Amino acid sequence: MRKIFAVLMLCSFSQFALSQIKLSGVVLDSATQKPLTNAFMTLGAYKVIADANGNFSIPQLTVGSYTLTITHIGCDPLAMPLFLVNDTFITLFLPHHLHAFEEIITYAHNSREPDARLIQTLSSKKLEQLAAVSLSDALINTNGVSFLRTGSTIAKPIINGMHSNRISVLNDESKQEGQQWGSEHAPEIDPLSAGSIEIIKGASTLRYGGDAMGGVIRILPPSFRDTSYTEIALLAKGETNPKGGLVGLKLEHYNGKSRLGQRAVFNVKRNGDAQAATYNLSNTSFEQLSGSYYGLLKKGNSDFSFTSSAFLQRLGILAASHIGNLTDLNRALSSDTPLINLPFTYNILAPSQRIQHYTGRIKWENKSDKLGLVSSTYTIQNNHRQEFDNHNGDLNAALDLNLWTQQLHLSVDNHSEEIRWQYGAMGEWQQNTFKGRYFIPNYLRYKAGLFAIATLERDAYLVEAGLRYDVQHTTSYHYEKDILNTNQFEFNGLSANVSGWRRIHQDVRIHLSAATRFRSPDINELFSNGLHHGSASLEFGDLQLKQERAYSLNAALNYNHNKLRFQVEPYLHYFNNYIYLKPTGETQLSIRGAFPVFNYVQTDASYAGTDITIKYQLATHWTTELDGSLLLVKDQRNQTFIYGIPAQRTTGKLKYTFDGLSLKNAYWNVSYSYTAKQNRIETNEDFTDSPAAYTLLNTELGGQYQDTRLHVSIGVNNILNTSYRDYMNRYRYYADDLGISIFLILNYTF
Amino acid sequence: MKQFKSLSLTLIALLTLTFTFNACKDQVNIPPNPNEEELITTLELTFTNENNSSDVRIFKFADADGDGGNAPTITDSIVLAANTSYSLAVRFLDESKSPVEDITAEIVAEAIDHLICYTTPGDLMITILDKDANNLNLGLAATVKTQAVENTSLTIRLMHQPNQKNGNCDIGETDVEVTFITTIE
Repeated sequence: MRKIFAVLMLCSFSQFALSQIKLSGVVLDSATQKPLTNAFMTLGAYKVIADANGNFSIPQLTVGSYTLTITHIGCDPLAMPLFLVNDTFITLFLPHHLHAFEEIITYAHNSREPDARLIQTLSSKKLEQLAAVSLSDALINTNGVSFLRTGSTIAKPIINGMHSNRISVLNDESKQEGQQWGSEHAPEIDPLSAGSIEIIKGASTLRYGGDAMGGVIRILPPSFRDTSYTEIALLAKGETNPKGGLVGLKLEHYNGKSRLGQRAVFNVKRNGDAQAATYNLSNTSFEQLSGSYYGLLKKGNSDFSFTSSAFLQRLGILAASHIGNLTDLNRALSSDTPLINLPFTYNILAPSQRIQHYTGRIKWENKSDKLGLVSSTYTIQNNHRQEFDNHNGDLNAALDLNLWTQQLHLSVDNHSEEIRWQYGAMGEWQQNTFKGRYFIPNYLRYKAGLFAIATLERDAYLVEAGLRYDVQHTTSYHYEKDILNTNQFEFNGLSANVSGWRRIHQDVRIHLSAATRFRSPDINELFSNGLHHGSASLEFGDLQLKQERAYSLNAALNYNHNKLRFQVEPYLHYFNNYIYLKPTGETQLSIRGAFPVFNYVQTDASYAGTDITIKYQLATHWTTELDGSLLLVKDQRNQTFIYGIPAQRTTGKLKYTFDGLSLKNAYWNVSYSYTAKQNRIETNEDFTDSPAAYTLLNTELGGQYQDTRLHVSIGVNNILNTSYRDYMNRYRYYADDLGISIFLILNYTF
Repeated sequence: MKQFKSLSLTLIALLTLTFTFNACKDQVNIPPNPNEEELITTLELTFTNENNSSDVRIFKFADADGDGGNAPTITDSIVLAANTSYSLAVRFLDESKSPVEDITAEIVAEAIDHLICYTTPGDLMITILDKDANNLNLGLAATVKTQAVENTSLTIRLMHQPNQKNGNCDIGETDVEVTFITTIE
């Protein structure tokens, strides 16, 4: 059931506009360029099989849009929308090597519209097979994406070395709005509700806001096949560490007559305390409940869609990590094991987090010859975050933030003649209110943005240029010693980008992108004022912060020939007025004891790095993959390293594909990941030395059970039960990371 | 034209929705006043000479805005007579309120989750007198015996140990930690 990947070449024979048109084509093996026989194709009511030379043809069609579904032994069904106006010949390249390569990775031509972005896509099938109920589950094997973690349940994606405010998570067009400034605030996303996920690295897109310098993760709505059908899918996962599992249900229905598609997804996950190699990690239990509904009605040239989703999460915070002051922290650091060690339980006690996120969205799209694709989207989101500490217990949240966001997006996508034009506008209204302890103020924020992108495509190259203007106005309200303070902030600026692809050889493509973008200081960077409970530090924001500006260069080189795929993606980002939390090296005395002081400051910084992937097919059933991520970050003004940057990492995988053991399209793999020690730190800036380098070994076996529609996978993570701590996990001060875990994932589609 | 018409209709509908929605929201411009939150601002020690009840010595440490924010406002030094036995009573106060709130009562109510710890590098001998419901030390009342003349210090910690208290100081979270310069004369 490995993913397939198709490069489409549409060559239209411009003939007379006939009332009946023909779709024909040939199916080729992408690696050998040889014809593939017996590919099964469905287009509306037509079903055809490619002949011995890979040729197929569907005559007697009328003008209109269709979905072509291609199935082939050992490949997932691939659905592809087509708009036919006259006789068309398609060349389909299927990477047939019996699921030689695991992921579906399409570069640029995802929507078959010219596009210069550096983009990777994960299909919903892939997400189901990963049983991904969190973004970290979904992106775990994506090279170039790593995570900033707080234990095993809170993870924020890192792309190009950046996270939190410098990465945008989008639901279709609209940015997900939680309290993303917090390092222990994970994105409130259930990937199983997605149709697919796009990972756009670097600064190669301006369509989705100017502030995502590191990259964009975009959750796309599902697409429906063209004929009437009903599909029910069940998903179950059980694992031993953390002990627990998940159950998921997906209902999908499409009525070809009324052209109404509907999909409902519901997932529940629960697990108890996680286990390090040699001890229990007390109070790390987790509960998540998520559900979504998506409806799509096609009428004439218009698509109307409606989305609503609910996401509820409750999770424990490692008991030993909640500390009162520097004395407690030093006590925790000097102990090899966590200072609180209670027996395993499913219960969640304080400290804990409770998060609710609700989204509602309506979208209208219209396709016309004159204007192209016009779309308008309205999104409303509510994010309610409550954090409980040991003092107030479960009754009153110590931190209680309620964020309402409304967004309106309008855009036009017009592909006429040689140039594709995209232009549009967005507006956003956002309100934050808090209860209980002050951490960030109440605020009201308005945002607006305008963008225009032009893309030119020729045979051997593609060039794109974009320009964007963003403005935001924030009014904040908070008390300081019984006096109500009202502050007003306004930031605005331009972002621009030029990028492109060029095929320099039949097997070699290069991508280049140059961009400048800016990010306005976020509310915590302006307003933090005092003790960050749990991390035992005093953090001070600065109302005088200016916006930061990044100048970015992203490149990519793809080589794809026969048995070898090679891909290298270097990047360089230079920041003016880069905002970060800098340790001052001083401590301040209070009634709670002494605390180290951190200030939000600005400097000039550089991020230089590269992601590398090499895939090689060793023999008919054997493939290998090697990934690596290198990154060097420096404070250029002070010539120092910056705290909290991922260490160098490499992963490798050996994979065997077979049919047997009652499994079809089965695979077995062994993988390792090596994470180096982060040595690029300033002495005495961190509370303790960086954790040592570590290597983890994992294995997985999976496949389709006989001729059923049951997909099974079973695996072991951290086979050797290695004790390790990761530099990017905040719990590293207090406890080891996860020990051995065995999991079983079952996936059945009716 | 039809397209523009439906587009503008959609827009108007959305904007109307936006405004109706806003009408029934929390008041963003009235944030909670953090001064209504409970703080521990002050640690007060009352030493009473066990042989002379008119010899009462009160020492304070006060941090008007609680943890974080501004530096402490009162940092007394403890001065006691040598070779004397004192009974010690400890109080935790919130002096940012008027009238001043005594938080000690809450600590007594949650005695099974709290422990007051005393450490000194010198020769002071401290014996905790009060117990919680589990017969473990609490520490709001103690006997302090001074020895010879010395210059030393006394650190007092209020430990919050929910579901963990076993009489040991080195567990839980530190709610208060104050070190007094101490002179025995």
